[in-house]
Amino acid sequence: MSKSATIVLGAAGVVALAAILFALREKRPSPVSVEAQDPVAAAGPSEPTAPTARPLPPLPAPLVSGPRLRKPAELDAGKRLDEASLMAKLHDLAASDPPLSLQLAKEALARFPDSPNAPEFEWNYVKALANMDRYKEAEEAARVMVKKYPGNDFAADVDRHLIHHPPNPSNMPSPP
Amino acid sequence: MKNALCYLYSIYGKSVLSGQQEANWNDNPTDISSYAGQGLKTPAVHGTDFAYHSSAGCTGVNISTTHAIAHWNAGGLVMYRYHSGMPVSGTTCMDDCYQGTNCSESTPSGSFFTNIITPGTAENTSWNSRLDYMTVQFKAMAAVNMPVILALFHETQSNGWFWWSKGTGAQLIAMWKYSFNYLTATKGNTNIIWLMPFSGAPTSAYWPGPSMVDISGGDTYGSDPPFTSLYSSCKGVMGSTMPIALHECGTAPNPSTMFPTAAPWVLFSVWAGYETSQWANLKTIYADSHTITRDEMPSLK
Repeated sequence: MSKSATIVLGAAGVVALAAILFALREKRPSPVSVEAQDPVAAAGPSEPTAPTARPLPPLPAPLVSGPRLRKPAELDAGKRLDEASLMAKLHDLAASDPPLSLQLAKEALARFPDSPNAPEFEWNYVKALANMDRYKEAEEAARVMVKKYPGNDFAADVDRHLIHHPPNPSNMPSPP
Repeated sequence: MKNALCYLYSIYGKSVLSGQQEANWNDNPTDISSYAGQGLKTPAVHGTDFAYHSSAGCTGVNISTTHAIAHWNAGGLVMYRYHSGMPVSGTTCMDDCYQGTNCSESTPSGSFFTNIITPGTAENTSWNSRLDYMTVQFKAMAAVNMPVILALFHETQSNGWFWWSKGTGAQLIAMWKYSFNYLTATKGNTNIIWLMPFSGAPTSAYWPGPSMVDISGGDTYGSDPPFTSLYSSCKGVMGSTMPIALHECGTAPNPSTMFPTAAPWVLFSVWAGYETSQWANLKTIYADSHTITRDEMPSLK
């Protein structure tokens, strides 16, 4: 191969590689929270403290070849699940990961506010706050829930455990 | 203890013991005494709690035990639960609390559930101190030949409100077995009737099994007595021979809808304060021939 042919082929390779990288950059999802992606989710139950959506993990470096880009696991959990799967996921999580339960419950409430399951989703939201020892916020959310769902068993449950519950013994400090 | 247990088995499916939880966090709880003011007889089962021990400390006989003994001496049965604080390093029964740091509603983390049943750990030492405190009360009641229905780890369910329900079923069962062995074999308590107290949807994943359970049951604050669905769920886990108790409820069930097969709970226990909003319901229930009040119980001594 002549020197000029080598130069031409090399230049063509560089251009091709740059084009591939550019195309991949265009397709890459941006690292945003569930709420930011879904304006409905952003309107979920008011939460007086910092946003609960976890920061998503950094995206992998651009690949010229290899496996296709994957969405972060938490987006998979939050965005792709239908209502029944969201409920099943909350049941599976139980008390094991309250921040994730909070995120999923919040999203479920935003996406399915009129569902018959809404009281149970809201129960999970309140319960996740309590499981993080955020009792004041949990109590506030419980009061909202009791007003919203009078006579509902899930609302009665948060009422009994967060609003009208036995007190701490007198020798103990008040809840934070 | 044997007399009381045989009695529970003998009435199961035929009658129901009336019950009422005392607000023993008050200095002078009036939940049970208020029945007389409504023209009702005294409930058969006095519900109370090992938390709220007044000033007796962890080694003294507390005022709740004194009330319980009085109810037994008058012919009734007593059912205890325990809103224990979360047993973490350095805490004892004096640190019991309902809500806050290391209270009943707190959430364990890390290796807590392994440690609590592992001798020598701080969590195990702390839990043992609670069991020792309970033993002080059990011994005081045993001294008057008094059996005690113990609903330890009440409201057991997945993702329950109290620390003992925030692990897996296997972890709950391990704690149950540890506590059972400690209170019976290690501490020699022979007056305990072990009631496995489910809440929500009872499941075999949390079921310690009949070798360590005398009676069992569920609780509900639903508004659809006699809670046939809950009863059926309980029966599905516990089987058809073990008496099933409605160990805690808001609305009391009417026996006319319970028997013979819909939901023949062996007892019901109205939670403290909930009696005040249902006196008419309770009057109907107490007038039913299936309902057993304290004065109608045989001597179990």
